[in-house]
Amino acid sequence: MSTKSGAALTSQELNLKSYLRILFFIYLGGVLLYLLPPIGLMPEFLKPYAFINDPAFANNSTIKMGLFAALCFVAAGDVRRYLIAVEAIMVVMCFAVLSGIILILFAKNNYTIQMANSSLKMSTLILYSSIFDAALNAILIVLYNKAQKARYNLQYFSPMEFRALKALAEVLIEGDEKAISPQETALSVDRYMSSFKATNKWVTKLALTSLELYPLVFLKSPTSYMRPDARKAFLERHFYQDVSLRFAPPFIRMLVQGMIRMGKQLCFMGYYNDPRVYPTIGYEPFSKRADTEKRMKDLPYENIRPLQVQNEKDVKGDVIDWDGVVIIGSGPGASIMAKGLVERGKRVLIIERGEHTDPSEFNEDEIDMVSRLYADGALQQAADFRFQVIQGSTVGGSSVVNNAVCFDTPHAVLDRWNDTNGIDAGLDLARYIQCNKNVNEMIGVHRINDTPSTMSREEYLNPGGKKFKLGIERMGLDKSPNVVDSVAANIQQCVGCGYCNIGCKWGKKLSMLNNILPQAQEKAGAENFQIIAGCEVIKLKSKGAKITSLIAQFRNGRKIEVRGKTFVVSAGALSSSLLLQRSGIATGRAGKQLSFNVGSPISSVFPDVIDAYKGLQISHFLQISPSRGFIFETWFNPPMFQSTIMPGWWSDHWKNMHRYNRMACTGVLVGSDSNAEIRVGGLTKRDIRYTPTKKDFDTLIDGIELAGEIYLEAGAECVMPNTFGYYEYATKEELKKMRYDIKDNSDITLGTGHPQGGNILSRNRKIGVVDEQLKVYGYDNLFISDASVFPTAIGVNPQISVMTFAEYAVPFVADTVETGGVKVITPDLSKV
Amino acid sequence: MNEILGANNTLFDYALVVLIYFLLFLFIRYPKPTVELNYKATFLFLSLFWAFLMFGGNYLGYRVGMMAFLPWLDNALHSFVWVGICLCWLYYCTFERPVLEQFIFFAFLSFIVKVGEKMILGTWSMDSYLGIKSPYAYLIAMSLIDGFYPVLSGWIVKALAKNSTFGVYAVGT
Repeated sequence: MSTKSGAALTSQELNLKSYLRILFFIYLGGVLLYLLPPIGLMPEFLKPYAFINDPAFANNSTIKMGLFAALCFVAAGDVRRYLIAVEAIMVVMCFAVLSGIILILFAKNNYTIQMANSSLKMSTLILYSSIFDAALNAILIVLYNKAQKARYNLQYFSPMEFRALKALAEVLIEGDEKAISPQETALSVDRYMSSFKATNKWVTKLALTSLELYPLVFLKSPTSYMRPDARKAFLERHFYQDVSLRFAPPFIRMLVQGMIRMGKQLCFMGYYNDPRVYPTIGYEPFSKRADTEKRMKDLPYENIRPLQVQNEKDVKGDVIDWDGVVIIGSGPGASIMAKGLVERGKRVLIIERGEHTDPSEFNEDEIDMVSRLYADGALQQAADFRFQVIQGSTVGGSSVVNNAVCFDTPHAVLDRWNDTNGIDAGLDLARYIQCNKNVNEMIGVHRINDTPSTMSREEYLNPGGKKFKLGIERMGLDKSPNVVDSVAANIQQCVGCGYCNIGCKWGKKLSMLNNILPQAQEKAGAENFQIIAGCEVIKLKSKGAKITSLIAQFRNGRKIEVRGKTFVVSAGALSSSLLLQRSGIATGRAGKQLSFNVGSPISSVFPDVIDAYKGLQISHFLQISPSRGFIFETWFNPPMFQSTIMPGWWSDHWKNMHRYNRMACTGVLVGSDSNAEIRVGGLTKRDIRYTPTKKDFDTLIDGIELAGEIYLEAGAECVMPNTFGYYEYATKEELKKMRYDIKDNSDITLGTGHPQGGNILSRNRKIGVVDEQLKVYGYDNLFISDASVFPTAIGVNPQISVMTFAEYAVPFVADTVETGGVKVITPDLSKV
Repeated sequence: MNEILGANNTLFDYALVVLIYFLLFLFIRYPKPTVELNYKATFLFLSLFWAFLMFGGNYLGYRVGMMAFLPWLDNALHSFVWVGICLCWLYYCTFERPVLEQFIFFAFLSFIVKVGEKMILGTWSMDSYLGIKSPYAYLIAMSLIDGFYPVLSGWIVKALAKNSTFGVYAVGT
């Protein structure tokens, strides 16, 4: 970890110091080499090289060599304090090499130099000189990087990126008496970034490098070299104002916004994840709360079942011949499908991209759990950096990290899907609804009623939810036909730790990991139901209309080929679409008509302490009827997550985080139009293209405004939407200004944990990727069973619908294994 | 035209050179006729890496006076076909063998190819090299340099396989 000033130099720093001393002598020698001949003290061995007598040539070279020698001398004296001298040498040497290349390629006057018995072209001399400079500089750069990395024990970031992050943390986390230093904040982020593998991690490096060097465009020094007040002024002018006041051109604005969003997110993650910060914001981790022991005793239900999972070391050979169904993914869709198939006596092999984390390993460290349980460490963004998509990537899929909220598929949505003049999904609705009921029973869905005797129901559920409910009642929104209630969830005897999004250690959340998957394995036996984790399927191989095998790759690069009889893709809306694209399946259709439950939270501050972090993270919901297109769900997070969605910059963000225990928060969800797309490409090979339609955007703003009114009615001092610029509204009249403050999606932070569509279900082959039996058009043995088949967004939490589809499709998949074809079931298309 | 084909060379001469490559390739490929799944990405990377490096390096070597000029077509075929495909496959077949054995394989087969090109195309010719006055000094020196292919490739694969850069995977680890 970091060394205090005066602590011993690391061996890498000592190497750098020695090399600088060597360079000093080399450059000093160079000074003499250039200076002596013109003043008549030419050594014998240099006499053949008469050209170095030229005083003008000697003057420039002496200055260059002398400067380098001086810088090396100073830097070698204290490699920590005078590191800037080393950086200056590196930069200037790079320029020297660059200038040499330019002269070699473009210089007009390529004269010949006479040397003893031969001659040499000037371009060749410059070439040798440039190679020499490049070699010296390459060694210096390598030693410098090693020294810096060793000094701070950096695992992921380069020294420049780390410096940029540290500099950002110094100004973005603006308050008195910081609990940890900017250096510790940056080191925490470095640890996090090094703890997981993801294809798009390098975007953080690009963002930090850009943040560091962006000031050069304005002829200012790099960000980390500025004084903190100048740095803050620069960020305020060129990041905050240029974006929120639209001073910058659109493309630059998008890039700048993306950079600073990433920078902010990283800084806040690093700072607010540290336990030393918790007391300063009034947060108590569950293990330290006064009533924890009582809660654990009052709510003893635990559901932890063993699950056998293979990893890379357990898989022998490069080819697996599987006599059964191969399922890609292990989330809700995959798990229900697997369970249904083993109950029909089929052998099932699951290939899961994420690693297997046993619930006993879940802990309170948000950064640690995010790196283990989320896809790409929760850094997945749309191409314009204005939309975040969060998905689980672990055995059990998103069910391990979701809030367990369960809604049945709305009937209006089903009717729309089955409209023969529209999507024409061809679903047998009676059967679908029966499957819906089966799934609810299977995973134990119920309203959270098992309150312990030690607290009121509202306290147990979530204190923040109580405030929201109060506001709803005061506004008369609790009257029928509106629905306001505690959520239905697949949770038993929740202890209210507030860690739903980082995994339930005690099995209270009946996720696929500790419920369905172990049940299926118990039923089938470990031989007939196998799970391989940490293995991403990269391609499906086909011969004619049959999928013959898939190619999958472990984290260490090792590939395997898996052959099977039938294949089911359940990798989630985004990954399933990408897999089909990479495999050349459903070309032109896969990845299109993507939709989301687009969300944005609104935070509120109350005069009294609420401790909304205690209790179910999502406890209450409000559905307005007739529908206005949105649904509200109360929601609060542990500090790290909450800090990344907390409105405000500089001291405002600090102020808000220090009101953490007086805050409540509600998420507004809007089922979007199907106007998004995902394709293989872009910076991260996951190019998500999405801009909310005007209708969706207006609906979202409607919802945020109403949520704000509800909180104000409940007695909130102010409410704050999660906007790029900072806005605080203390009255309903002020809240009306929000529509002018938020002009488009660039002004507000949007995200989703519910991507849907991409491989939609339709009997119209021109738009559908799968038919009414979820079989991919054109293939006999390929099915899709996840949210990617949803023809439209459903506007509510989708896990029940995903599982219902899986349950619905089980017989079709099972039949394919035996017959190689699919039994046709005539659907009942009557409206619900 | 001399710069592309070389003085007095015809396309038929080049066809003979390609025939030499092909015949040697048949021998090289004998122990492992197909590239296994986990080596494909590594093969592709090494093939392209060395091909482009050799192509550029041969010309740069000539420019700095360390190598004789290779006509462009010879340079391209030698770099992309012999080095890019044949030597890459040779590495695939021998990378698990002792380093010295690999060195000898590479140096010897390179020598045969260079002698063949010298006889047919008149390339790889220098009267003396590194102070040794013999037409074979240059040929042997260049062949010995090719002998380092497996050692350098091993280092590159090991470095890139740490993070699966370019999909490179160190088979057998």
